[in-house]
Parts: sequence; C-alpha cells; structure tokens
Amino acid sequence: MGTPIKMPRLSKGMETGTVLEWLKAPGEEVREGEPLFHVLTEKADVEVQAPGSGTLLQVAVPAGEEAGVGAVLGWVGEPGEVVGAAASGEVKEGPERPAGGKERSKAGSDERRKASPVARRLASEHGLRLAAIEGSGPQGMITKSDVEEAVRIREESALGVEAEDERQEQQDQVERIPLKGIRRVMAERMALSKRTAADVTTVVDVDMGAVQALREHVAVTYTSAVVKAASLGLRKHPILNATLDEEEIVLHKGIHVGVAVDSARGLTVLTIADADQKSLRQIDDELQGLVEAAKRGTLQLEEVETPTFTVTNSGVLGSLMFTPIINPPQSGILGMGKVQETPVVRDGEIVVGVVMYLCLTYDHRIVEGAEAVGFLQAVKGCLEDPVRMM
Amino acid sequence: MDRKDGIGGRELTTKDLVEMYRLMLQSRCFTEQVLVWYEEGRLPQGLHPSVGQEAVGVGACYGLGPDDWVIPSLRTAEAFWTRGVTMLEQLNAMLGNAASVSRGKETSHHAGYPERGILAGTGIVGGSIPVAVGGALALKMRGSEGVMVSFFGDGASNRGDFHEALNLAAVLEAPVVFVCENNLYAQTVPAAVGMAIEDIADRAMGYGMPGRVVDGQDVVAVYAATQGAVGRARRGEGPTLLECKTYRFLPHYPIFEEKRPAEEIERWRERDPIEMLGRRLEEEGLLDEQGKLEMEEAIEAELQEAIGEAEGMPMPDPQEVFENVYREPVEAMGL
Amino acid sequence: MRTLRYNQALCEALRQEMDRDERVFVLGEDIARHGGVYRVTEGLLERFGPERVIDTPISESGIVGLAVGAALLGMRPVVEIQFMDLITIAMDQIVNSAAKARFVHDGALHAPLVVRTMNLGKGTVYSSQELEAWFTHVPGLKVVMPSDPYDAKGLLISAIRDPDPVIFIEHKALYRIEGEVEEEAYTVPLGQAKLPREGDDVTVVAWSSMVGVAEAAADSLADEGIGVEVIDPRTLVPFDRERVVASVCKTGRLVIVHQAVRRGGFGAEVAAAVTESEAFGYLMAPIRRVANPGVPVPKSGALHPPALPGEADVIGAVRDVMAYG
Repeated sequence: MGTPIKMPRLSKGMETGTVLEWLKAPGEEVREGEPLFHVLTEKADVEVQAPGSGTLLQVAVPAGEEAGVGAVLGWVGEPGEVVGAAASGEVKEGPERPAGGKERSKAGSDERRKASPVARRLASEHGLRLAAIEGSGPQGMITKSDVEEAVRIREESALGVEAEDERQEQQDQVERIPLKGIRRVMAERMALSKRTAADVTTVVDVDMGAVQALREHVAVTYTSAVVKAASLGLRKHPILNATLDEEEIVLHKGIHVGVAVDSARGLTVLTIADADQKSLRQIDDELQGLVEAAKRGTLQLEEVETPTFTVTNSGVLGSLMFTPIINPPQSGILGMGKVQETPVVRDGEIVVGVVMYLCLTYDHRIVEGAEAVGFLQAVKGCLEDPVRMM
Repeated sequence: MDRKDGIGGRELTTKDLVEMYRLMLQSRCFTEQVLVWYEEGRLPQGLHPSVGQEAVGVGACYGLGPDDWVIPSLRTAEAFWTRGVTMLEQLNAMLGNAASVSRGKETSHHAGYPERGILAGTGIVGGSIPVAVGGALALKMRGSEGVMVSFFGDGASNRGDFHEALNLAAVLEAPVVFVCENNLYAQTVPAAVGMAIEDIADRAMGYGMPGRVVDGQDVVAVYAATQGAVGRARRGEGPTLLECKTYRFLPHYPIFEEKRPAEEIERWRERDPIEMLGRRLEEEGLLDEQGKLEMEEAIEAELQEAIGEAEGMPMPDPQEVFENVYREPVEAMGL
Repeated sequence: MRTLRYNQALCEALRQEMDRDERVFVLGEDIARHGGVYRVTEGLLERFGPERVIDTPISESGIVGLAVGAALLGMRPVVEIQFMDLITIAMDQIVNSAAKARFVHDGALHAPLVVRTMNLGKGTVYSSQELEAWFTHVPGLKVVMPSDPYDAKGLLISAIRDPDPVIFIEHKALYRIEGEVEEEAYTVPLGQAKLPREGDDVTVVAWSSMVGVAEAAADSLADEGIGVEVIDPRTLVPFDRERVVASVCKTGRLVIVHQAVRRGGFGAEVAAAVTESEAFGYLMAPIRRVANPGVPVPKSGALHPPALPGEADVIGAVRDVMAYG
C-alpha cells in the first residue's frame, strides 16, 4: 500500500475542501514536497505538496470533487503497488477528525456508500454522486427511487435555466463555461449571502489627503491603511466583527481582516490575523507577501485564521462606489472606491481634495444602522487622521 | 465343437497360434518400450503394465467376431491389439494428440474404438461391469448375434457393481462373458486378504451362472474357455464367469515400489505366457528362434515408426474441450 | 382439452414413446408387475411385455450402469429410481459412466438414457431429499424438473428423445395434480422456461413442487399490489438464463425458491448467474433464496414448517426485497 495523500487542514476550522486540479496524472512520478494538487477552501486556492516520493498510483477524489479533511485523495508509492480502492473512503481518521463534530455533508467517496446495484448504475449514468444522495432503504441503503428522486430534483431546478439557455442558443451561438471549482464556490457563497443576510449598504466619503501624504514617507497601500483603520473600527464596534451562527451571535475576540484580491484562479481572500495589533507597516508587508503568493498560487494557509471581516478594493479597477456582498457568516464587508482628486469644501472654500468612498455592507439582522455608521465614522476618522493608526 | 466342460471355439491353425504369439509379443514390446519412454520423459504417462498377463486379453478376444464387443480393464492392453487397434493409435491416445481416437479427451487405457467393438471403460474399478451387462442386453434386444466380453481384475470382483451386474446378467440372460483377470493382487493388497475364498469363479454359483477357473498363462486355454462361454451366450443361454489365474510381473504402476515376494515373482516368471507358447511353437516346428527374432524386430520397427509419427501429430485445438460434452455446445446449457 | 394427473401424463409419455420407438424400454424396481409405486408405468407390461418393461432386483447402481451400456449400444432406456434418496447408490454410474460417455468416445458413442426419480417431499428422512444440485454440477448430464402434467408429458418425451443422459426429477406432491394434457405426443423443449405469472415488481424463480407455492404467493401478493413474475425454468440443465435475466432486468428484484437445501443449492447458481449478467445493474435489492435452511426433512409434520419452504416464506421474501424501494 502506498502513502496516502490526504486532504490537509489548510486553515483553522476548515472541514472540507474541493480538489481543484491534480498537477500530476496517475502513473507520473512525484517527489516529496513537489506541488501535487490544488485545493479550494473557503475562498482560497491552495497548492498542496506531495507527501512522499514515488509514483502517483491512484486518484481517489478527482478534480472538482469535495472531500473532508483527512480524506484520502490518492496514493503515492512504488509503481504496481496495490492500493485498496475501498480505502479511498477512509474519510476521517482520529486526530484529523474535525473537533466539534458538526453535521457535515457526507464527503466520503461513492464506493463506500450503501447502494443497490441499480442505484449505483443510475447515479453513474446521471453523473450524480451517491455521497449527495440520502438513502431511504434498509440500513440507509440508497435505492433506485432515491436516485430517481435526486435526478428529478436536479432536473426541476435546472429546467428554467435550460429553457432560457435553449432560447439563447437558438438566437446565437454561445460559449458554455462549466460552473466548477472556484467559480462554483463563488456562486454558491454569493447566493447564500444574498439568500440569508439582510444586507444594507451605507457609504461615507473619506478625505484621503492625509494618507496620501503619509504614503510619501511610508510606502504603504491604501488597502493596508483601510485594513488598519477598519481593524481599529472593529475594536470599537465588535458587532461588525461578529458572525451569525444559526441562533447565536458569535463575537470574535480576534480581529482577522480578510482582503479580497484577484488571483490567477479568481477571487481569493487573504487574511491579516489580529490586524488591530499589527502596525500599518507590518500589515502592509504581510499583505504584499500574501498577494505575491496568491499570484504564484503558492499560498500556504495552514494555521491562518478564518477572517472575521472583509475589506475589498474595487477602486483599483476604477469603481467609484459599489455594494459589496457579505462573505457569510461574517456580518460586514467594507468596499473601497477609487481614490481620486475631487473638489471639496474645506474651511468654506472649494479646494482640490483627495476623496475615496467607503461602502459598508452590513447584515441588518444583527447590526444596527447606528452601529454601522458609527463604525464607518471611526474608520473615516482614522484615515483622515493617520496618527490614530500609529 | 462346444463341450460340456465349457471349452469351445474352432480348432486353431498354425497361423492362429503364430498370430496369438505375435500379439502377446507386441503387447510385451509395447509395454516395455513405453515404460522406457515414460522414464525418459518422452511420454507424458506410463501405463499399467500387463507384462505376464498377455495370454488373457489375447486368448479371450482372439475368436471374437465383428458383432462382438469388449470393455477392457485398465490393464487389458491385449484386448486393443487383438481387436485390431494399432500401436500408433494407442501412442496417439497416450500423447493426447489430435490424431488420437478421442482427440485428446482421454488416454489409451480408457479409450473406446466403437468400429472395432471396444467400449471405453471408466476409471472406476468395477464400474464397467454393469455397463457391459447393459451392452449385452442391448445386443440381445436388437437381435444381434453379438456377445459382450467384460474384463476386470480380482479387486473389482469385490465391488458391489460386480455382484449387481452378475445377478442382473443372470436374471436377464444377457449375452455377456465376465473375464476376471485374477493376478492375485488388488493393486498391492493380496487377493487372499481381500476375499475369503480361493476361486472367484465360485461366486458365479451364487448368481446361477457357470464359473470356471482358467489357466491364465495359457493363451490357448483362455481362448477355448472364452469361446465356450461366448458360444453359450450366443445361443441365449446366458452369462459365464471365467476366472483367469494370472500374474503381473511388474509393479501395478511404474511409481509403485515392488513389495511382493521375489521368489513368488520368479516362480510365476517360469510360467511366462509368451515363452510357454513360444516353446510349443518351437517344439512343433512352427516358429524357430530366428523367426521370433524377426518378429520382434518387425514389432520394434513398427513401434519406432509409430512414436515418430505420433510425436509429429498436431495437438487438438484447446476449444475442442467444449465439444462432445453434450450434443449441443456447452454454452447452450445456459449456466 | 382433456385433463390428466401428473403421473398419468408421465405414463402416457412412456407409452407413446415406446409405441413410437422400439428402442425405448423401461426398467426399475416394482415398475412392471406393480405398475410403479406411483402408477407411472401402469399398463406398460401388458402392452409391451417383459422384454421392454423390466422389473429389476434392488440394484440401483447395477441398473443405471446397465442402462448406460444399453444406451451406448443403441437403446433408449428409461430407468426408474424409486426415490431420489436411492440415487445416491447409483452416483458412480450416473456421474462417471453416463455423464462422460459421449466425451471419452468423442461423440462416436453417446448414452441417451433417462433416469426418472422422485422426491417424496414429506416422506421420511431418507425419502424426501431434493438432490438436483448434485446433478447440475456434473458436465454431461441434463436435469429436468417438471411442475405440472402438461410439462411432465412434454418434457419426458423430450428427455427420451434427447441424445444425452437426462436426470428427470418428479415430485410426489405433484402426482395428483390434474391439468390439461394433449392426447397426441408432443415435446416441451429442454432449456425453455415458462412464466406461469407475469409481473413487474419481483421475479420469483421456482421449480418442481415450488412452482405452485410461488404461484399461490404471487396471487396473495397481487392483492397487496405487488406484481410477482413467476418463472419455472422447467429444466436446470440446460437453463433458460436469458429468460431469468430479462425478467430481473425488468423487475430489479429476485427471489429463488427451491425445496432443496439452500447451501450449495441450485438457487445459489441462479443468483450468481444473475449478478454476473447485465441484470446486475438493475438489481434494486439483495437476491433472496427461500429454501430448506440446512436440515434433513423430518418425518413429523410438527417439524416441517421451518424445514420445508412454503407460501408464507415466499411472501416474506418478496416483501423483504420490496423494502428496498
């Protein structure tokens, strides 16, 4: 039996990940430490290295499939070594089993699911994963009718979209891009957010002149400054650093600010842990390092905290203001507009100022409007008087 | 010229006696040569040597006609020769090549040659005896003049099949002659250990048929006794049990260690059936030393030619194993 | 159409074949003067005489061996072994002499005999064994197990005309069953199953006396809205695999019913064959066997329920496989 390749825990609290891509095909040689596959977790795409040297013997979880932390994704070993196909379903082993044991979707591979032969065949024919089907037969066996029901549900949900697509295709040629990997995760998370959060967006303008002046002495980005300012605002308004966990509001002691950036594989969230306790310079250095790693796809997210709040900069692309979407289960997201010279009234006179709109979307289920505006004002205050951030 | 004492058959001519001698000699030469080839690894199997017992098969089969049938025992090689099977044919069977009579399905001593009146015996000692009775009954029901001759050893006469078959043959008046080749050993167990009687022929009385003890080393005596029994069967008078007292000079099979008393083997070797007839032929001026030598050389030459030819034969196509399990192909059986 | 009992249908088959072909003869214990313990050979002695209707001594091995020899030399013997339990005595002749005759002679000779035998069902420990699986295991033998009078006649005629040795297994419980039987001689081909009940939900394969049990269960289950397809293979060798596979592809569920012991029974072979076939991908539930659980058939009726499969057992097995959606 070769060395099993397992789904790593790439961040605290990570319970499942999606295999985005295998960089080697079964039969190819791999060296220990060499990049072997990409995993998508939360919003991050992480490159994972081979656990041993040898040949990639078998892939148990193909690209695009989700697996629990500790699940065997494949094996590395000597060519010809026998690997137990059945072992591919050894999902969670003792120490790597996530604490808390919250109910998760069954991420075990299909081989181990109890299913009648016809159910197995039908699921395969329809491209359905047995793991996603609830078994209603004796001892939880997935029956033929369970699969038929799953097929029916999928077809019904796809029906409207398909009809629209068909009309489109009749009119003109279209290109279809499969919704998978990070795109799929994005889609699901955005929809979840819009479906669950009572989101409200509120906007303030910030005079960025002081920060601009600061940048002439200390080379930091506007984003770093906003992260620092936000972290301080969050200290004052902890409700925006909270997450909603079903029936409870969870107030987080650590202020971990996520920064949404575009990377080679799409949107990725980098995290500055305990941002309120770091200097602006530290934050800036850390952020630059993470952005570089994200661009190279070599982000190591092990032991990195899950963000409690997110900052997103749309201004770099030229946007003036926008309504960012909360990254659930967080309760707020701060969007940065373009920093630009604008006529402003200062001491009764119209002068050329440097202004940026800060757009806060917050979950009105738990955040009061006054809290939200108060937070924005605090952030604005820090940015307009950077000394407060020193 | 059938007599009250069961002796029958026509008067044997000079030619008959020389031919009987030749058949016994051929059997001996074949056996000894095959054992050497087996030892050398040239043949995939040995045989159960009939050396010492040649007079039984030759004598019993010599006078049989084309309508008659025999089922040899595993040691009755002489039944094949006497019914006209060639050494090449039996070598083909031993090699299991495509020219063999069963095309490789079974070996020489379980071979059947229907066109020469030979039914294959099974590998179950005594199992062929009731089959012979059934064959005889069929001959009778079909109105054939044919008689069935069933060969078996002293060991088989202890099997239930022997007793059931003799009883059935007697009650059904089947035209069958039971030829027991009593070579005094059931493989390694002495006949005296396996049965409490001296003469197996005595068992016939229990089934209401004649039983005769015959000198199994005297081919003419075997011939005459068998012909008497065959005549009786042909006339519809029912079966006969002949017990031919004989002895095998070699172990049961090449791999068997010889544990029989050496002096017993020696004593029987003095009654070598081939030498006994040979002496008579010489005394009567029918076949001299030179003639015997030439005869043996001719047999050896045929044998050498046969092995060459047999070895040159192609082997059967492996797929032939599916043929003749049933009339239909095996896959037609569904499972 | 005229009706006959199962044993009468068999008797008619023998009489018509003996009329048609003078090579056909019957032999066995108590079959001539007595006409057979269950009257299957009644009247044959009077019609055909003692040469062709032979009372034999109690020599099961001997008479089967004799039949093999007669068959090899051109006759068409039909042997009766009074109870199937007694066939154990004749096993060498069946397995070695009869089954392999065609093979060792490479087809130059063959042994077209029929061995008729019978299971008492609820007799004694030594007369109620269902041993068909033994024979299905032997290359060269065909195994026939008719379940009603029509098949009894048609299959026996086929068996007699068949060029290979046939083990023809009757059942005491069936002898008194009446059914329509054509007067003319006819054949039911070996290897063709029939479907006494058609249904879409569960396939029940049963043979011999269990066909009636399966039919009764199917009728009861029809009231519950469960459609049971009963397949009677009629012959186990050759076996109508295609029919069973096609049915399981339709229903997705299979129950096999036989009176014989489950362990090593022919039902295991049927189950294996189905899982090896394209029907595997249609199976919705485990295959269930209803069979003797592995005990001798006891004499006392009090002990029968667990030992002998009945309608309730079949219904239970069908409901069980229906639970798998």
